[in-house]
This record gives sequence, C-alpha cells and structure tokens, in this order.
Amino acid sequence: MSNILECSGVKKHFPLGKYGAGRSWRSALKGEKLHVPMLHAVDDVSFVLGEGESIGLVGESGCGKSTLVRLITRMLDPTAGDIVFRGRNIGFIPARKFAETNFRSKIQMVFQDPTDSLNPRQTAFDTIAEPLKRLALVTDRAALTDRVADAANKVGLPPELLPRYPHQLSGGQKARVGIARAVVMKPDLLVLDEPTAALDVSVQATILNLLADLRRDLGMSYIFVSHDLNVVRMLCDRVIVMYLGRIVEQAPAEQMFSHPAHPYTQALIRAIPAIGGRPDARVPLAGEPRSPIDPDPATCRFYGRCPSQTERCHTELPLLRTIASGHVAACHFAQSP
Amino acid sequence: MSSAQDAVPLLSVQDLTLEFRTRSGLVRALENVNIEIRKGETVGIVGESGSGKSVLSFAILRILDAAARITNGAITFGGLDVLAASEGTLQEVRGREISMIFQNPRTALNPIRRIGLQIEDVLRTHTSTLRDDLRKKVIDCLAQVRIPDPERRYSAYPFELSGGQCQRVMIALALACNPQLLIADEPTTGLDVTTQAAIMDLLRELARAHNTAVILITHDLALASEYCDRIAVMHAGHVVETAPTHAIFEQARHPYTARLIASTPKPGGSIASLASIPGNLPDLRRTDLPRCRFIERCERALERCATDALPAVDVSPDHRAYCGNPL
Repeated sequence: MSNILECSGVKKHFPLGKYGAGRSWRSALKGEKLHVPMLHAVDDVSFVLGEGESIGLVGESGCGKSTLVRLITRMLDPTAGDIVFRGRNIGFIPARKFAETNFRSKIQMVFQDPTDSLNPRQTAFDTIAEPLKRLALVTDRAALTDRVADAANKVGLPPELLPRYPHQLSGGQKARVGIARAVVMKPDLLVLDEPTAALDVSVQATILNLLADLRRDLGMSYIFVSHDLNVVRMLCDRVIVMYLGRIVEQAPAEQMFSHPAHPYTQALIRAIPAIGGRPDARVPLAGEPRSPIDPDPATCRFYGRCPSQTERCHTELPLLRTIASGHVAACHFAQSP
Repeated sequence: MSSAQDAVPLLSVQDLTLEFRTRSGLVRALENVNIEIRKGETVGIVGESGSGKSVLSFAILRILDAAARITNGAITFGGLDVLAASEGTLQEVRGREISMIFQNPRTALNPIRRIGLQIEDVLRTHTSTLRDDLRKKVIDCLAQVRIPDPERRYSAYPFELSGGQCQRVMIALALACNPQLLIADEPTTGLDVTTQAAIMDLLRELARAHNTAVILITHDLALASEYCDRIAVMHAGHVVETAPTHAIFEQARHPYTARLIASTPKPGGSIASLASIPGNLPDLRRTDLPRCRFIERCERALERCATDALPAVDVSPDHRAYCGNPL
C-alpha cells in the first residue's frame, strides 16, 4: 500500500501577542529583545496515511487535533515540518494560495457542526454546487445539476430537498449536505472533524454507515477526528492519540482498544461510559492538562496527571518507540502487549 | 428499596400537558407526562433532541417561555403545588430547594462577574449566612467541587477557567444551598470523556453525601446507565417508558427504547450492527398527530395505535411502558 499522506516533524506554534503577552508596542520599544511566549499547538507530529486507509485522531479538546487537521487541509501554515501529499510537499504552499492549486479539490473537509458550517443563505443545491463552480469551473447549468444530483444521491439526500435552505433541513440532512459538498469533488483524502458530534444517536448510526459505504465505494482515505472512541473504533483502521500537541500513541484500532500502552490512552478508554458499566471501577484522571505555552522540552507532557510518573518523566521527554508491530507509544514505561 | 417506594415522592409530575403558542401554530410539546422522583435517587431522562426533556425540566421550575401554556396536569414538589404557587414562593424554592445545572456552563455563568461573587449572590439570597462568613463559605463551596486553589479562584472570571472548571463552578452554585432536587440538563455535553467522568463522579458523590435527588437529562444512554437508578425515556413529548436502569437495558418493552439502545455504539460492536431509527420526530404542530407519536417510525405499529389512548403496560411495579403493542 502506497502512502497518500506523510507528515514528518509537523509543528505549529502560535505566538501570544505581537510584542509578548500583555505588552504594547510602547513597552516593546523601550525594552530590548523580548521573549514572545509560544503556544505549542502541534509539536513534532509525524505519521503516514496509506491509500484508502482511515485514521482516527482522538484526544481532549485543546490537544491540537483540530490544528493538525487544519494544517493538513492547508488552512493554516505549519511552523516547521513536511506535509507530503502524493509525493509533493504541500507544506510549503502558503495557505492563502492553496485554494488555487489542484490539491484543494483532492483534500476536502467535513466540518463539525452541520448547522454552523452551512451558509444559511445558500440552498442545499448552491452549497454542493459551490466547489464545482470554484474548483472544477463547471459553468454549464445542466452539467452542474447532474453532478450535484449525483453527489446528493451518493449521500442519500433526496432530490426534493436540494432547493431547501439549511433551516428547513433536519440535523441529519444538514450533515448529509456537508458530506455531499466535500465528496462532490471526488477527493482522495477526506478530513472529518467530529462529523457526528452534533447529531442524535438515532441519526449518528446512519451517518456512520454512510461514511463507511462512501469510503468503500469512492476509495477515499479518511482522517477522522472524534472524541467518541467507540465510533473511532468502528470506523477506523488505525488510531492516533494526541495529548498537548504531541502524538502519545499510535496503533491499529483493535490493538489500541485491547492493549492501550500509554497511561493517557488507558485513562481515555476507561472513561468511556458503557451500558451496564460501573463508574466505581475506574480511576478518573486528576487535574488539568499542563499549559501548552512554552512547555518544558525535557518534561513529559502528561507529567503531573500521570498515575505512574517517576522522576525520569520530569527530566527526560519520552519519545515514540515501537512496542509491537505498528504500535508506538511515547512513554518510558510502555510495555509490549 | 420498598420503604423508599412507599414514601411520598419528592417530586411528582402527573398528566402534564404543555403547549407553545407560536405563529406557525400550536406546538404540543408535552402530553400526559407522568414522572416521580423519590428522595435521594438519580433519575435519567433520555431521548433525542426535541423530545421535550428540557421543556419538562423548565416546567418543573416554572421558568417557561411566555408562549407556553400548561393545559392539564399537576406538579407537586414536597407538598407544594408548583403550578398554583405564587411567583414569590417559587423564587424561594428555586435555587434553594430545586436547583439546576444548565447545558453550557460558559453561557450559564455571568461572564463579567467574578465566580466567587456569583456564588455569594446565591448564598445571600437564599441563606442567612452572615456577611463576614460569606467569603469563607464560598471558598468551602469551591473546595467541595475540587477547584484547585479556591482562594485564588474566588476572584477569577469564567473566561479564565476551562470548560470542566466552569462546570464545577456551576455545580458549586447549584449545591450551595443543599437543595433537595438538582436538575442537571446535559451537564457534560461538550466536555471530554475524561472530564465527563470526573464531573459525573463528583456530581454523584456530592448528591449521595447530601441525599440530593438528581434528574439527569442526557441523550447518552450509556452515561445514564452508569449513573442513574431509574431511567425515563422520552419521545416527542411523551414519556414512553420508565423503569429501573437494569430493567431498561435487559427488558425494554417500548420499541423506541429498544431502538435507542441498539443505536448506541458499544465497545467491540461493528458498524453494521449499529441500528438507526428511521424517520424523524413528528412535527408537533400537526393537528392530526396520532395518539402514539412513534407510530410512523415503528415497525410494530398496529391500526389502533393511531386512534386509541396509549395503554400503560405495567411490567413490574416500577417498570411501565406506554405502548399499544409492546415487545
């Protein structure tokens, strides 16, 4: 299997204020060189995505998963690192120029909230037709209608709903419009940012089935961001767990759930509520994540919350190491399963 | 268990019917809703969005929109007829006897008032705490919900806290007066699973310690199964089934409950095994609403389901389904 996407050493650091947090240009003028605090949103992330593969990206809010997918979909410029798509390094193309390249139609995204991500003044038809007009330069009305109808059909959106505005559609129908808009360009890579988070379980099941079918039929690769681990387990071949901007564990989905090696992954999996589960049986994670602003480069990011930390975790940042075939974890004490 | 059952329930909602008058017609938001909460128990109310869970909790506190009309039924809370009580009496009850945790802690807290002062407001209104003791009491409240460094956090603004911390402040606010009933409306929606577990554990521990009854409104069946003693399932303004938690999952009698359980992702389940519920909630503005509002999504529907009053099927003394053709 060849790789469709290879990320290596991808970083995104946001400076906090132009002149440093809480400082104006006046104080900046007076002072000499000052240190601008940096928020390490994504730090040294490397992974590969195979052709037709689906990767789940999980982690707490603020762990950098949304920043990472915005880097991959090239809506943000990385601070450092390579993003290689089909053998071409797209990390160097400035985000504002990216929409003018051919890659834009090959990498598409489905956004989190189907209500917020649709233009309220565009009908479902207009929304799905927009990328065709902009990226494929389809101007012929008949061709446009054909391709929109085709995309709507693929996502199971009845044609009579196409002239409707978002407020006239239900949550599940809006989710379908969002997916149709993304697949109408026949992308090779589809990035899904919590596509079912705003949906009821009754609708979620149909959307998940639709996504699984689409991947099979269109041969797309998925990057699936979610914090519902049960959903990730069902839909993804491999899972990447992020914590404070770094990948802490990566493994095939079943392996990840049966033998989580990193203490954070273990806590994450134990925290999933289950029908008939007993909350007494688990130890909740104490405290809050460390600050992502100028983190100590020598300290494990999970230090302070980790149940099995030692002095070594404070002085030596654990790097990803292989503990089983296809299974890597960033913990000094990760055991081979 | 039996002694608790014999006792008068803390809260009882009987045949509650509620409508909203809107420009596009009458919305029949709740119809003949029956629910009982006993002292110290945790009851989950689950259902899809739009099924009337939040409206029911607003009705219990009588903080309904001006367009709402309660056309039938009664709400009794510890001997008080909530629907007949004066606004003054209700203000005494709200916050002191019944308090509520809202869905989004960031919007529920006042963004321009220090969190310590917001808790002080509650104490000043509802308790006879001396002015000099207020600050200490607030810091105790914050410490009780395990906010680190409560002395310093006293003067923090909501935007300075994380989502989980804000929800802890909401819990401190709600439990400041040791209420008898706490209504938690989706308290962990939007929080991470790890934070969700910590918040729910905290809520359960504090409710147990003070013998507070909790109504947990959620759309997550798995969450309800872990934290609730009993569960009521709502669909389109009807309570379709109420039962002890284990009975709901072991022998659901209403087809909607069974569907809801089947559509909840389970560890180890495959995507093909995930059932979906066909169709949507019916439009509650329709004048020709069938008697059973699930009829158009139900594969077990009979002809009489549309016209006859829904029979209450008593499976066991504590387990009741409202269905014309139960499983």
